[in-house]
Amino acid sequence: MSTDRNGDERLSGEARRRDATPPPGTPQDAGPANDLDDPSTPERTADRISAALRQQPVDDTAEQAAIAAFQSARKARDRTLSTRRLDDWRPRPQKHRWARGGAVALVTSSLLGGIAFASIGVVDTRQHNTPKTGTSHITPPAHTPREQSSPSSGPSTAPTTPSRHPGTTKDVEAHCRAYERVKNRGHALDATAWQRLIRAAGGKQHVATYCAQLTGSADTATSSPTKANKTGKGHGMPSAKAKPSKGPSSQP
Amino acid sequence: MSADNPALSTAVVRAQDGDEAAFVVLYRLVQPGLLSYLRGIAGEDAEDIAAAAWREIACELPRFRGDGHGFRGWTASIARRHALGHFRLHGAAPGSPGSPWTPPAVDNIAHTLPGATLSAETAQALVARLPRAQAEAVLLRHAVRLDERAAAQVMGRPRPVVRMLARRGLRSLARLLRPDDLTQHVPRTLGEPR
Repeated sequence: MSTDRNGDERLSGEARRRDATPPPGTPQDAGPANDLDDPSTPERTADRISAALRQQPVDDTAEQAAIAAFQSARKARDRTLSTRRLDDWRPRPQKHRWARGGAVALVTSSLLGGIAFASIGVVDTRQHNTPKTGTSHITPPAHTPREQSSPSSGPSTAPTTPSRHPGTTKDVEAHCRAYERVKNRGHALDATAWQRLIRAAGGKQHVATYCAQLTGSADTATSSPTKANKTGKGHGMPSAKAKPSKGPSSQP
Repeated sequence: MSADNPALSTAVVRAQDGDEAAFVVLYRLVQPGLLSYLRGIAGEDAEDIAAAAWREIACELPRFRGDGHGFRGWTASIARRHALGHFRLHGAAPGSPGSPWTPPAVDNIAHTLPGATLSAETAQALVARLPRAQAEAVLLRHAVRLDERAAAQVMGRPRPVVRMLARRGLRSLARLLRPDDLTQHVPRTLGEPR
């Protein structure tokens, strides 16, 4: 295999060398090609041709005929000769070209800028959408039952709130459930998560009602047996409310 | 483009006011290039067409607006219109198979050295060997001495086309002027008559 390849390379190399050698080797071909490539040659040709063509002899009789035509035209001239479009050979003002170029540049830049701006927006929305892609698969089934159940059942707005922020609601629910057990254990409530929960509820006293609202709304969305359990918990909340009132009395 | 355009400009202005001497000046400035152009596109009938064109130029001179370079373009377009009318009356354009006019022989170019000056006949014969559109573009650019825009306006073709035609024509002329291979065939534009 390797020897074959080497042989091929040598062959191709020789072939390349064979191809490459003729142009410099044959001066008959190279000379004219260089002449043609030389830009000065057509220019010199233009100069020579131009100079030669301008040596045209001017015929006297033709000149006299032209002058006679000029004289007769001058005699017969009326003042009403207007300039037609084909008689106007004034150099066109450059302003128009600049104006047109400026307009083209403006349109092009605004077009490209608009495309760039739109593509930035697309990228942004994609970045925002990518974490939601997991939920977006979930939301259609969440939406379609809602649309089907909305005529029959009253609390149609309830499922939408957990579907918007499912992660945080779950966290809050979990914290609510754990709050019952944690709240009496020393300084556990100083942790940031609990502080956040208390802040969200608006005070230690309101945590129970806040959790009841959240879990209760989630229960109506999910199913009836859990509803029964959670309502049981909801009933337990007032007792939980009563416990902190005991807590400070037992702590000192 | 040419150095005598200012003189031509003043001559045109004075001739428009009725100055006969100024008209003679502008005739002598314009006629050689114009006649060369007409010889290139109309062959033997160039003198007749030039006479008719000058009659119109003399009559329409007050209508003209522009400078010396514009005057060259204006006269060239009038001459071209007369040449086309001449072809319409008398049949085929020169260079086409039915034309009575044959390009003069250019065998004597073989003696032309690269640095030597060409005679007017030799140059005309060389240009006559080009395809007609190339010859016209070369003549308008280098005999009438128009710029590219004016040449395009006279020919009624887009500027890039005129530029390409003139460049190809000059390249062919350069090849023809090389003494060693005069017999070389001049490449013709596709669809070109002759």
